Amino acid sequence: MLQYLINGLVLSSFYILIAVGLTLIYGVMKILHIAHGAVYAVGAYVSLETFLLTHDVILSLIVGSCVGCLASLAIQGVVYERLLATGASRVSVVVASIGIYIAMKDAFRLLFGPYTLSYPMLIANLFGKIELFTTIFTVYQASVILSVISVILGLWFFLNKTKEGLALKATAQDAEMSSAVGINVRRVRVVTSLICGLLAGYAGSVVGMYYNTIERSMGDLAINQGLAIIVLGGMGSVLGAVVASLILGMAETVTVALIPQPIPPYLISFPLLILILVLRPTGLLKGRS
Amino acid sequence: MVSPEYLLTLISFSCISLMSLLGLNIILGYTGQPWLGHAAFFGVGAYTSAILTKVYGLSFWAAFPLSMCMASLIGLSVGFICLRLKEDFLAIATIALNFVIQGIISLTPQLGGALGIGGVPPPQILNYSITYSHYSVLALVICLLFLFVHIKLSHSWAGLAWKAIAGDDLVANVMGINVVRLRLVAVGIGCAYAGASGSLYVHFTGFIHPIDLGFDQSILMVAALVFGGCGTTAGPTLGAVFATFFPELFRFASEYRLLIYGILLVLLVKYLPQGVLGAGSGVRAYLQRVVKGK
Repeated sequence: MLQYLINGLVLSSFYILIAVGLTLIYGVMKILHIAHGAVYAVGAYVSLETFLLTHDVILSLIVGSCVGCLASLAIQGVVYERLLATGASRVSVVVASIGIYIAMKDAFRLLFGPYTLSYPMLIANLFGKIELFTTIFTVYQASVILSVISVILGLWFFLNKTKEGLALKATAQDAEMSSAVGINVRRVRVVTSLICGLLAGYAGSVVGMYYNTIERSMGDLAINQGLAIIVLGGMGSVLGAVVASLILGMAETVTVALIPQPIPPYLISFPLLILILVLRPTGLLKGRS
Repeated sequence: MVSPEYLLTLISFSCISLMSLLGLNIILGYTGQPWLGHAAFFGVGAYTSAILTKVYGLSFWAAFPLSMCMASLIGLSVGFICLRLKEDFLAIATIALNFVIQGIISLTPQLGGALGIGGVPPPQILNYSITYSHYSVLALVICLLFLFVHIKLSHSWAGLAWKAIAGDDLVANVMGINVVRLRLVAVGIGCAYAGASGSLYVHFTGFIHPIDLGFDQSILMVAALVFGGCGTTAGPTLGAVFATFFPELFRFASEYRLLIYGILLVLLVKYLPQGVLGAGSGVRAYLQRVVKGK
């Protein structure tokens, strides 16, 4: 039983890392950031390549997150900034984001080959195991959960206690008014995509090591689940995204344990999403940040 | 060079694709609802038609309207759930529904499961099977019929009301337009178009697979529509033809086709946000001036 709790928590942690970035971007820029899935895959690929070069797990996590961050900044600076300036319609911005996603996915194929890549050894088992109340879990799982908890706390501190964070929240509420009272909205957008890129790159690196499979379409699942989560949590709400990630991670772990036939994860999240949308059209938790 | 037979096949596919796009144009172009799961309704039409003809032995002429009704019904029930949702919620809900419908079909053995359904019979006229190059005539006739209805619709009272809703649904509501009902009507008609397109598709290829109604296909439809231009009749027509001939145009770069496709999508939205022939685009205004000048 406790085993399921641990597995569910690890899965929820991955979802939190992805969904928080998505919901922040949506809150600040009102863009459904589909290309987030590609940023996540960039993290996975880069950390694998770094590991193959240096055999250092921590270093490859850092490099993976940083390159993810650079990718996110590039997407924001080159594409989104221009689109927001021209005032393109919502649907066409989504189309552009999907275009970036498709192009990056194909770029992975050209750069890293069409095959699924994996680490030379199981990183997740590298740091030993902990036994607690007849439950065995790896140090890797524990550190993933702890790192995500610290990310949440750090984000809470950033959003509520720092000037930049408050500016971000203000921009999410009303970008025009924020710029009228002297907030540099463009800077806020850069900061947002920086944070989101870091989180997505870190998520990609961690997930790549955990499941030991890195493929170019790994972002599909991440973005599907991420979209479901940000709607469940109420678009733009960070707390909502965290809660929805926990619910979805647990629901998925339990469902996989109960049903013998393997079903794709999106067949758990999307029916749940539709059900919630019917009952509560604004998501589980209404509100922002 | 492209052989004439292959060209006729491409014409059939253009017509099939145009019919889906016309449906999407009603929902997304005229009424302004972010509808990102249109391929699911194409698939519903295709599967309905395939099952009715293959398992129940109906003729194409009976299965075609029935598959339209089926797609429309499912579209209406989806619309009923989703219409309370705001813009981006609706976008994600339709993405979710696309995956759910695809997932249900690929997990149901009676619908062919993950293997799809093959051996769907071609349409018949007086014991003559319409196949291959002759199919393009059938597709063209049906497609022109649907295009005609589409043009009539866009000039009708409902069409004007749709455009009003796309402009500002609150104002439309104040002017006495029943916004929810007209949105539902748009979804119903749009999905019927998709169902008709799916039925035509499955009787042409004789085969339907869950991948044909995936989210990628929905995106291809939205991209083609945005490329051609939303909210006009010429836009979807150009989009359908371009989307069908696109793989041929970039045959020289087949290795990089997806990369080019993705980059083109971004450039398109960046430099041609209204599409080539959309309402308010420069190309359209230029063409209109040329036509009027003569």
